[in-house]
Amino acid sequence: MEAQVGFHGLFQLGHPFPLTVNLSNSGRPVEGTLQVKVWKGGPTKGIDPYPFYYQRTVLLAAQSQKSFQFTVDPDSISRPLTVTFLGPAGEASQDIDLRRHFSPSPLNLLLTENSVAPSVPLASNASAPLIPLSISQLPSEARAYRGVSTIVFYEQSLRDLSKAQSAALETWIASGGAILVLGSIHYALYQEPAMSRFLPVRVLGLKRFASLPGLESAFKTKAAPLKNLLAQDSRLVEGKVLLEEQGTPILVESSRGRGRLWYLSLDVGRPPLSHWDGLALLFGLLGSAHEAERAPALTSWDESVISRLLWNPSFFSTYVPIRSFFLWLLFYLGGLSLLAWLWLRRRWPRLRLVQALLSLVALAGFGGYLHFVRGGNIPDGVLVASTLLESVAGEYAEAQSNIALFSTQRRDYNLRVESGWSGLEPVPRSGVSDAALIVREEGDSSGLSFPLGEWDYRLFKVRSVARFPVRVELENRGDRFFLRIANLGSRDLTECWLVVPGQRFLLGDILQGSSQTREFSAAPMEGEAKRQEKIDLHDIPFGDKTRELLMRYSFFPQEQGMARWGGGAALFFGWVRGAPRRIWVDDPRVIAYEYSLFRAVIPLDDEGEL
Amino acid sequence: MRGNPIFREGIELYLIEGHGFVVYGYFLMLLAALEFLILFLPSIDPQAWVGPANLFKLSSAAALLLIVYSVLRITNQEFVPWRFIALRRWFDGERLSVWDVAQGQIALLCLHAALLVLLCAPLLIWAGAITRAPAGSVLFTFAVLLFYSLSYGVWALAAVTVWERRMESRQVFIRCLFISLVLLSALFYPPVNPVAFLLNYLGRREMAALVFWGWKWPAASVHFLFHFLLLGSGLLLYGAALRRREGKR
Repeated sequence: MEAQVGFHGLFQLGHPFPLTVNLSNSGRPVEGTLQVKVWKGGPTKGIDPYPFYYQRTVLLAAQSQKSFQFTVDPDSISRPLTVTFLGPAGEASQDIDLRRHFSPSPLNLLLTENSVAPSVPLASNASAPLIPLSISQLPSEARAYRGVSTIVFYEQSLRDLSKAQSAALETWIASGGAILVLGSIHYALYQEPAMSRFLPVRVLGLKRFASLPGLESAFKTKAAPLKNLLAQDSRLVEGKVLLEEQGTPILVESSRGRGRLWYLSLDVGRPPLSHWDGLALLFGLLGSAHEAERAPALTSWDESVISRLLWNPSFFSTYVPIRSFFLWLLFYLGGLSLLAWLWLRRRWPRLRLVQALLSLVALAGFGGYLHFVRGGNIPDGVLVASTLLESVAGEYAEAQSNIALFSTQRRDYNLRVESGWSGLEPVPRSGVSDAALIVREEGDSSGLSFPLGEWDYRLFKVRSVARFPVRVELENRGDRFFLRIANLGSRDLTECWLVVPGQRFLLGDILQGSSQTREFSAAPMEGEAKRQEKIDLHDIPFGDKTRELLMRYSFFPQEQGMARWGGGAALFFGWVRGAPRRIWVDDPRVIAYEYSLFRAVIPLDDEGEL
Repeated sequence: MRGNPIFREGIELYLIEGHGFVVYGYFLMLLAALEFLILFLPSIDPQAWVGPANLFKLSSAAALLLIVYSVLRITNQEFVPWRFIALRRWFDGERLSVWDVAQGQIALLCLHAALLVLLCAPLLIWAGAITRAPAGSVLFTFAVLLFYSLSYGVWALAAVTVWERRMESRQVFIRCLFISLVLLSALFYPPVNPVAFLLNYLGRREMAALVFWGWKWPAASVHFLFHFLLLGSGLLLYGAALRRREGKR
């Protein structure tokens, strides 16, 4: 058993990283469990350290070798990471000291099939190491790239890029990653469909330039002029051209979600550019690659929110058998009253009445027991997923999913999380030490396994970035606001509201594929009392009581000063009808409730657009 | 036992004439209402997510209080007291021995306790099913309900024997006994209190052991020792009072 940490032994401190475990079997076929133990919590998180497990079932043929990749996210590197293979014949384990493998700065990855790596002096990450990788070494989970600043493609065919790897790269870009594609004379590689997904241009062929006056004028006397060189000819598809020569884009920048795509049509791996003294200046035009990680959306998810949720009769009557309990009570007390009446009236023989009493007690006791134990509308568990989709640049939204899993039984649960999640944190409860968590890698989703006792619950927070094509634009023309909303997604937005300083407007439902343009007065109407500058979001009514509770205590908590909206930004929000499930439990005995709110905050300084 | 005139008197008054039905009716109505409220109203305990988590525990505690109080009042002859024949007449007129009287009264006490537990059984079984309480816990609860009924009930027998003609004194004594031993004792040392003990047992919480002269006594042992002593001392007092009554004839 051999394990490789991060990207060629390096990872950025404080971020998830890939862990590749190579297993060699020199004997008979063997089936077992490969387990990685890391430590979460600790002083930095303010809670006691606790173990966190990643598991995968493995089957090794006789005389074979296999690689397995995990994405692990320890909170502390002072304790070793432990890799264990649990097989029928015993177990083998290996401790890895992570302190030898971390980098304080984000990493840059280089994918090239060229034996000579080009010089890529990225200005924003001068200290970050550039690590050459092959396609097969690319992780297929987006969160494994969280410690990566930029991935550079140079003369690399992406035909062998798997769907999972491609999806992981796209998710990573949308959540703030950057890809730099360096041009080459082998332009056909850049015309592959797999590569086109990461290009802001369509590559047409090669073009020879006698000189590059645009580049020379940009750098003036700081770099030697370039003469007679080949560059890729291309046509702009998206983004903006930072540098062009004779109508051909040389340097192009495009944004996707919170991430960046860059394309340089020049071949920096070959002369004359490989020796050019202006390379650093050229890459300096790219600006910052690694966007500072944004603080997660401020949602509240703790015991106080859960208590309020549980006080809601419409919520708990779905899993507490109040109606059937009441009917059983009526049946039993009614039967006893009837027997007492018959006894006092002496209508029936006493012995028969005593037998009837015993029968009634037995029937009510055992009948009710069977009803409440086996049925009675008591599920094994209730899963509540409350997701806040915060609009980020473009057609992407950052999703913060707050999860609560309640259990009425003592049993194990396997919480499935869709691929693409980037951060999963259990929410600690005061005075309760929860059981260890195990992440099971299963196909295109991850499973989180943990036990729960009867009438116990656990809380989690999961983050992810997903495509959510809803565009909201607000134009401030002094005395009037013009709102344009385009719902290009596949889900309806219901009970939508717009909140601007001093006013709130109910927009109703915005159906999938539809768009709306609305006009609102910014100033109070004549005769209308002067409006308050801040709007209390807690006063906004919804048809569903649970939505109101989530809105008040989770999405816009008063303790965080978000209950009253005002200042220099407008707020648009609406509930997502039939939101795609991000977290689920494959068990019909677990009831699931999903609530998703889309939110866009639009600055009012200039014309706002999100 | 059927031939015991005291037992027959109790059966006639409480069951044949139905004077005990009022007690059983109040008991069941109160317990049902409490159980429904416990189920309907979410728990105030932030660790438990709703009332059902505590339904069996709290219902058992409510049943305990109601059964012990009902047994004390029935045994204390607080319902239709004028219909009961005085002890002097049993000893003098019917020529009953102390053993006959004790046998009849204790059998009647056991019958009432068993009937109350039987009547509340379906309600507690439903609560146990909803809470997912183990069968062992449900059976244990029924056993201790009977045990507590006897432990405290014998003191009502003792009171009825000592203050037969002083109804008010008996009532005050019974209520003081109930409040001090079943309620207030939790303030001094919870393991001797039946409600605290039952709540802790069903909540699977360990109670503090009693350290006495360097010996460490487990809370459960202290609890049951205390209640066996209570039962024994009650029986002794009851027997002594009966003999004193018999000696006066």
